[in-house]
Amino acid sequence: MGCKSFRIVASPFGAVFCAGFGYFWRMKNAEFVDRLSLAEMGENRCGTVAQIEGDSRFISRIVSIGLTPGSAFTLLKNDKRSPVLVFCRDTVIAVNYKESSQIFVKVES
Amino acid sequence: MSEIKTIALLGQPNSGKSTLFNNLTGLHQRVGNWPGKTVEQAEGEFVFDGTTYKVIDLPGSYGLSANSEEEVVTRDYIQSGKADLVCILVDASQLERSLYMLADFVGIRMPVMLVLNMMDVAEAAGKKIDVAAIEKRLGVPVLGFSAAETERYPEFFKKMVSAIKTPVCLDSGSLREELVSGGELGEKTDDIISRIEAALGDFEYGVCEKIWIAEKLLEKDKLICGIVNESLPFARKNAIDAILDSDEGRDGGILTGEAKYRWVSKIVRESATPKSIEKVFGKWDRIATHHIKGKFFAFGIMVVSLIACMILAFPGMGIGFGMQPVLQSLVERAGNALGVWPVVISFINLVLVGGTCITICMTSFIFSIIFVFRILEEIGYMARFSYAFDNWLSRLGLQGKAIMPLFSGIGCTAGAVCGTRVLDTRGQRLLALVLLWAIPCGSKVAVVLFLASTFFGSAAPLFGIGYVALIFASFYLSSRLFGKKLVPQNERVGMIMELPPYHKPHWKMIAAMVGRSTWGIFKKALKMILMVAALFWALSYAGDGNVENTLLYKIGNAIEPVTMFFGMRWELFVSYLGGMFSKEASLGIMSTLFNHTGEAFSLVTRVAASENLGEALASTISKPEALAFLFASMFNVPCVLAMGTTYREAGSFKWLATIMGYYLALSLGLAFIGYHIGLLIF
Repeated sequence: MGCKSFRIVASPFGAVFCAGFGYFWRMKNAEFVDRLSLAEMGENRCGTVAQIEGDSRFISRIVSIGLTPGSAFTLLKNDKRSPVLVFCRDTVIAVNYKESSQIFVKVES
Repeated sequence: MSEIKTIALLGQPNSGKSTLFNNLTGLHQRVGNWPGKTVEQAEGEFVFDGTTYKVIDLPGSYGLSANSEEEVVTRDYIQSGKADLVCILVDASQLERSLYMLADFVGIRMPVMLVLNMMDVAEAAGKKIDVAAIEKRLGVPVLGFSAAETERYPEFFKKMVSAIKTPVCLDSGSLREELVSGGELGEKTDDIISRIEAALGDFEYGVCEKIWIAEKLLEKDKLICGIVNESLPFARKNAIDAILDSDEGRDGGILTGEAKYRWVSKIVRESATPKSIEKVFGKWDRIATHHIKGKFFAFGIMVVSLIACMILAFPGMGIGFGMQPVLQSLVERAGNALGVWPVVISFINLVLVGGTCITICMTSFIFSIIFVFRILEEIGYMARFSYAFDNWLSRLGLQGKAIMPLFSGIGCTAGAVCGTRVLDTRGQRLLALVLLWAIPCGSKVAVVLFLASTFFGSAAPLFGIGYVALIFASFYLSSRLFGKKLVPQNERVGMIMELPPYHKPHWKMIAAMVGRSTWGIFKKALKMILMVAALFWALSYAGDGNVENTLLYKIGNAIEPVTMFFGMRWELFVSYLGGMFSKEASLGIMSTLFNHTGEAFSLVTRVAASENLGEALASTISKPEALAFLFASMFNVPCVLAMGTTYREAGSFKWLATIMGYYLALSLGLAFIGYHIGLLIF
């Protein structure tokens, strides 16, 4: 077999292999590729907090005000510049826009 | 027999702690700083049934973490075990969130009493809370209460006495299972906490039980990590580090937070009906938090508040200004009749009477400013106000809440200085103080406008606009100069804040509280003002009524070369210095020096009584000098009371001197520039 023919045979395999790999990788990491942050959520929608990312100081502050994974909330106001307003645990809470992009949510349809 | 029992008040901000504290201790309270810290400490006492109770109002914090100086101070105090009883105050109208403090307290072996405060607000919102059920579940005394309603206090005292007599701690053992287990994350949390507890072995730390220490380790609490690091043998330390570095360990803060709220939710669900469907975020809130409308709305509310402030201050001003001529003529007649030396009559009239009268005026302003803004805070509007201006203020390095003291500076600088207390960190408070001195209070505005219209007639409004522009420019300058040091980048945290529900203010109680603190301010201010007034008097007294024989004249003439450098003749410069005492004094000095009224100046001169002063000035002073003096007055030190309260709030003389030096440099620098521009133009 010559180099040229090897390449002709190998490339479709390579393509399928890459496609397959990509597919499985995406499936495995689907939740991370498709996750939505509080900053991107629409007004008047309900949701639950799925994940929070940040340093221990941020986590401590956000947790002590009541936004923990599993908490149900309603997004009251999001104009993409002022702090986001949510209603959670009987309280209206303001979270600055930048840090609200570190709070990932599951929106209720 | 009369031993002293100590009660510590613990709770989140807005839980009503200061209301309870003030109602319990009244005038028997001391406000200072925690030793070695810049956090305010409020301590007081009261007597009930023969026993003296010492009350410590711990700083408001959301939980027992160590994120801020306030929380560290609170934690240290609790851990010291000095308190005989810890009253945990929670907001009954927001139980699901405010009980977090209680959850963070589980694992601290100290006698507690849970006070469900603001029951009146909860009841008004249609919430029903089964206090007895909560008490049964927690195993500690629980009281439904409203700190603002005096009729409920007998129940409070009864419960407090029995809680001290038979102290009960939260039983972490029986609560532990519910706390850490249950739910998807529950098993993970339970497992990891057990492993940490095992690694801790027989480690003990005062009143902190192992479960609490384990939770704090998971939360990466710096102080606890440090203590554990120092005390544990190498092997166990490594074991704990390994657990904390594991996948679950790294999410530690989330696991514990989630567990605590799960526990809290369960209690609330079992013992309270949810809030009746009410407009949580109604029409007014939509306006108040809108990024454009909110600012206009805020402006409207502030105008109304300042008017209310003027109205409230009116009686005090009336007494101050009104009493003065009456008393002074009385003293003069009595003195002459008795053959008292004229020097003494002058001293009594100008220093004692004049000084007291102006103190009354200034203090009544301070009272009304603090009162109006406390009412706004109590209603709940301040949080919306902070929200609306958050984006502007964060550019200066401050949090949204700073808009409150900054705006109230338009009414009275000294009162606004007291208001900087609402800011979270010392650095922010200091930065707010620096900015605050640039904001002119009503008196300064009156004087500046008077000067502008006297010298520049119809161009005066231009000066008004220019002044506002200069103030904003100075904010930017101050922020650049002091911002990096006071509020370093890593401390600039974005807003994470609750917007409390609106509720009716308890007018009388707030008036009493503000009245008490204002009385304290009045006493200190009087001393200071009398001393400075005596100094001014000594410098400006002339036995024969000839102004050229006063020390002031002589000194003034001597330093004229220096003052002309800044474009002000000595009379103007001395008036500028007098403005550091009060703007009225500045006018009084000018009146004496330019009108040659023949008598030593008065400290209390109303702008209205200065028409001839205007003419005298316009004919004597050249336009460039006027410009210099105008600029200097704009950024002059606010007044002696502002200096006093700034010293108190800043906590150090060094900062007062720094801020004073900054504004002296700024005002004289602008005067210099103004003079030379004036020379070019006119």
